[in-house]
Amino acid sequence: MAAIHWDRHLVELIRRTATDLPSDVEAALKRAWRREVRGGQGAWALQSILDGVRLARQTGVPLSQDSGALIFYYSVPSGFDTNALVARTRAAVARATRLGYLRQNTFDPVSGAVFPTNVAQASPVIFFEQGARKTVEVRLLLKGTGSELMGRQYSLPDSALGANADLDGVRRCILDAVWHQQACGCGPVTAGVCIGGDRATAYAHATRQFLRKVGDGSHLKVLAELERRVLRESRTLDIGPIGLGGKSALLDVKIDAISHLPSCYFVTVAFMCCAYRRRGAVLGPSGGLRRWLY
Amino acid sequence: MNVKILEGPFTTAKLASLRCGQVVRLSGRVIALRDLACRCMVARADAVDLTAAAVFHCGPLMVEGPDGWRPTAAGPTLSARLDGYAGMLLQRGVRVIIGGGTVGEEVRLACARHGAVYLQAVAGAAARLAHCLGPAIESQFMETCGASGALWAFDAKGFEATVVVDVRGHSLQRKVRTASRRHLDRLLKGSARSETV
Repeated sequence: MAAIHWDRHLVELIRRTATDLPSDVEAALKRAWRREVRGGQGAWALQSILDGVRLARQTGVPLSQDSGALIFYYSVPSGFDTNALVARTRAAVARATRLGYLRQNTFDPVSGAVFPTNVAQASPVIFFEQGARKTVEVRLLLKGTGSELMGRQYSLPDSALGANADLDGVRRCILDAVWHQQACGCGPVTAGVCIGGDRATAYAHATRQFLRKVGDGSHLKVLAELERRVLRESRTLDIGPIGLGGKSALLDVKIDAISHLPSCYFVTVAFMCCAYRRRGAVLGPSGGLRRWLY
Repeated sequence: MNVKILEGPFTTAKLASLRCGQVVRLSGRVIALRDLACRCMVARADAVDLTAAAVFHCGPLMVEGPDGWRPTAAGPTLSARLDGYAGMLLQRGVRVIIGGGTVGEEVRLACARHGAVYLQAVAGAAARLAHCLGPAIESQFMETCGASGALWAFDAKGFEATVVVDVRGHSLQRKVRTASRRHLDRLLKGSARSETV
C-alpha cells in the first residue's frame, strides 16, 4: 500500500467534504428557498445558508464549525488489506484536523479530555464491504451533532401516535420525528429512515441513506411514494428550515427497509443537517485517484 | 426583509423595541462560549467582563495565524444544552443571548425578568457568521477547554440573527411549536389508521 497516495487523496476527500456541498444538496436548498415566502423567516434562513455555502467554497473554509461524526464507507476488492486502510484513514483524519478542516470534536466521556486529532476508539467510524471491482470506493459523511441528537426510534404499534406496524404507521413516525426536531436539527434537515432491523443496525441503515442523492427516490415504488407524501405533508406543518415558520423543515426523505424479527417493528429516523456533507472517491489499489464521486 | 441595526453595548433600553421575528444585524462585543467555558466561569466570576455584551452559544473552529486566532466557521450550537447557565450569564450583565435551536421555559422567563433577548442564528451560515465575528480579541480557559471549548471575545460587525424571545418574554418558537402541533394533529387525524400509502 503506497501510503503517500492514500494520505494525499483521503485528506483531499476530507477537505472537499468539509468545505463544499454536493451540487444536488445545494440545488435542493435553492429550490427550498424558492418555495418560501419572500421576506419570511424561511427565505431569510435559506438565503443565509446559501450565502454561507458560497463563502465557504470561495474561501476554502469549513461549512460548519461542527465537524460532526466522521463516517467512512469503503467498498474494497476481495482480499484487500483493510487493516492498512484503517491506519491510512486514521492518519488522514489526524492530518485534516491539524490543517483546520476538522475541529477538535472528539471527547473522552469518562475523563472529559479532548482527543486532539479526532482519532480515538470509534472515531472515525469506518464500514467495509466487499465490492466486485478491483478499485476501492470510499464515501464520507460528516454528520453534524444537532441532527444526530434529534434522531428517534419508534417501536410499532404505538398507540399514542395511532401507528400500526404498517406503512401508514411509518408515515406517522416520520412526521412526529420532524415535529420533535423543530429548531434543533440545524435544518432544513434530511430524514434517513429505516423500517425494520434491530435497534443498532436500524440506526446504521437509516444513516446510510444519506449516501443517496437528494431527490433520487427509493428503488421500491411504494417507498418512493411514501417519501413524496411525507415530504409534501411536512411542508404543511409550517415549521420551516430553522423552526421559525416556513415550508422547508425537510429537504428530503430517504426511506429503506430491512428484515425484522416478528415481535420487533422498529421505525428509525436519522437526520442530516443542512450542511449535508457527503463526498466520495474511486481509488486504485495503491491509492491513486481514478475519479471523485458526487 | 426589514433588518434592524443593533449596536453595542447591548442594554435593555436598546432592546426594548425589538419584537419576535425581527432580524437584527448586530455589531459590538460578542463572546462565544459553550458549556465547558460556562462551567469554568461559575468558578471564576472575574474571568471576563460580560456587562452589556452579547453571548453567542458557539464553539467556533479557530485557526491560529500570524495575526492571532481567527474563526473559520462559527455557527450556533444547541442552546438548550446551556439553559442551566442562562441565569448566571444574565446576572453578570449579559442582555443578548444568541444561539441555535430552542431554549427552555426558564430562559424565556429569565429574559423577561432581566430585560434581555434570545436571538437565533442560522446554523448553516457558519462561514458567514465567522466572517462577521472577525479576529478574536480575547480568549479564556484555552488550557482547560481547548480551542473549540474556550471562551472567545470578538468585535463583531453585521452579525445577523432573528429575535426569538423578546424583552417581554414573548417566544416565536413557542408560537411555531404550538401551531405546528395543531397541523400535525390534523394530518394524523385526517388519515385512517389502516390507510395504505
